[in-house]
Amino acid sequence: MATSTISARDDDAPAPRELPALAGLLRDGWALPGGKVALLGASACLALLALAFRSTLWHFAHVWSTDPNYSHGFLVPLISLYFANMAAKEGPTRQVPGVALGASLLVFALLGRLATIVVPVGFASDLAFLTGLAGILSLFAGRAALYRYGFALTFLVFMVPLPIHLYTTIATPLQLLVSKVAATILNGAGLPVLCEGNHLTLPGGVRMFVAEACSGMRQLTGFLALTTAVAFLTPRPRWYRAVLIGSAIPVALTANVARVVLTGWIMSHDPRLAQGAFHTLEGLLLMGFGLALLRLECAVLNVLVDEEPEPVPAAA
Amino acid sequence: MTMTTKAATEPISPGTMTRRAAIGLAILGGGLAAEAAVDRATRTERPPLGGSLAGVPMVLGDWVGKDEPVDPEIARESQATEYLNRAYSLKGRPGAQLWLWINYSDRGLNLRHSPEICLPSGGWQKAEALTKVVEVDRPGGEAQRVSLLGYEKGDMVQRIGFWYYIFGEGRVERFVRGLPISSRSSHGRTTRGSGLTAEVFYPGDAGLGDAELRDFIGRLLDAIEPVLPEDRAVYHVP
Repeated sequence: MATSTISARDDDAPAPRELPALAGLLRDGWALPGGKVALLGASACLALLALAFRSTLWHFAHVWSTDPNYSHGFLVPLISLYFANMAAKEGPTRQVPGVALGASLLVFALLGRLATIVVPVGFASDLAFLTGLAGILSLFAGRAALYRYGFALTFLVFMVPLPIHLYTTIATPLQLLVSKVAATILNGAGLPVLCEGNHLTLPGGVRMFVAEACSGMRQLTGFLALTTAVAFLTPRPRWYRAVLIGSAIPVALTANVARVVLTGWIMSHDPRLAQGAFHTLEGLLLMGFGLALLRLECAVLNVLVDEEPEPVPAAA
Repeated sequence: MTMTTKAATEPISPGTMTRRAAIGLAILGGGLAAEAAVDRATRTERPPLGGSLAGVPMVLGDWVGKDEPVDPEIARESQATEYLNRAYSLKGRPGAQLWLWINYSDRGLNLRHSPEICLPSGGWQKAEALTKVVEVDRPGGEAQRVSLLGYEKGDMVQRIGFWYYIFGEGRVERFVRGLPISSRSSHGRTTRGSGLTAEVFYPGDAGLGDAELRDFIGRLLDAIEPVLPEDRAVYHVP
């Protein structure tokens, strides 16, 4: 495995300083012929891209800091950097020129930006920004680098807020589904519940409202990012990874149904225990429940993989 | 083999890199210039209102209005160029009252403050069972779609009639604004025209039903018609 350490030339030399692989790669690249020009040029292009997409970047920061559904947005670029660093550990990529592809991606990104000046579809501008990043990578580092770092770039999709109308189109049916399933389970467990939309009426006339936060959408976005990251990191066959990513939806919904059932059961005994800090604690516990479900799923899948005669190596 | 050695086996000439940098900078520089040009070329007129909102009649059929003061901070946060905040009472029905909030912004910025944002931030939770879209008949014009939204906080219920206008935008913007991926009004990234938002609040304990609310909104629509610029599109999704 390539490292970013400087080889010690004699015994008296100070211990080499470890750099993250990505930083080491950039440092080594700087020393190569043409490296300075490439890095400075790429930096200048990134600065211009940021300038062109300044409203998009501002929007990201605004949504991440104000919308609980996307508070994980700040983490996504850092996780992407982690993936990029992992990819950098494989050493420099082969130089496969990607000028035409990079230029095309940049032009495409800018056209997307221009289009959103005319028509107010911020989502398109957000995706165009990611396309622009891919373009700069391809232009300066080549197609092989784009392929190598493609996952790290693609992972940035999880920081892009969904258009609010699309979000509510998905979240509202999920919210209703969670209410219905939770009511069915509570009724089956012997606790009579009347379900009217997202309103559950418990014994004694206690009313419970299944909020949008309980639709599972909030957890779904987080679980999707998490399962995608795990699928990337795990050296397992493709079908294993696909199942893992696909399970984000049922796992998030199951965790939320469990949350609503638990809340309903608690409210039927003492409504005060289903409010404020207690309710938040329930949310955290059920998030842990969701993670436990994922862990259980991985354990079951691992058993299936171990039975396979020739597991496919990771395609990182 | 160290990474440096690997990298050193595939050097790229500074000339090649300079060409690539030139291409990237040229494209992005051109893009920035195009952005400025498109922005200038498509600059949208932001039509002003045809008159002051204060001119909206105090009496609308059986409804009698009274101006209410607005907290200066709320007025500032609303980003409204001009606003109207009134309580309207129904004649002969003590306690039957609703509150009207209309705001106009020459930049369209007021549209960010929709009930979908303001009420949840105040601890209100949206009640889907109370939320619907209705066609409100106007005594003097075409029917208009209005969102009737319901919010709950504890035992309290707040219902809201909501619709808004954007003035001066073209057909393309109007078409795109109707698509599911559009930013819509309140969470807007951009509003290219000016805008006016109308919200009619009627708490659950005000003793008002949908019929009274439709009557008020219908009369209000007729009353504000002379003030609204001709070049407009009306929306109801918050």
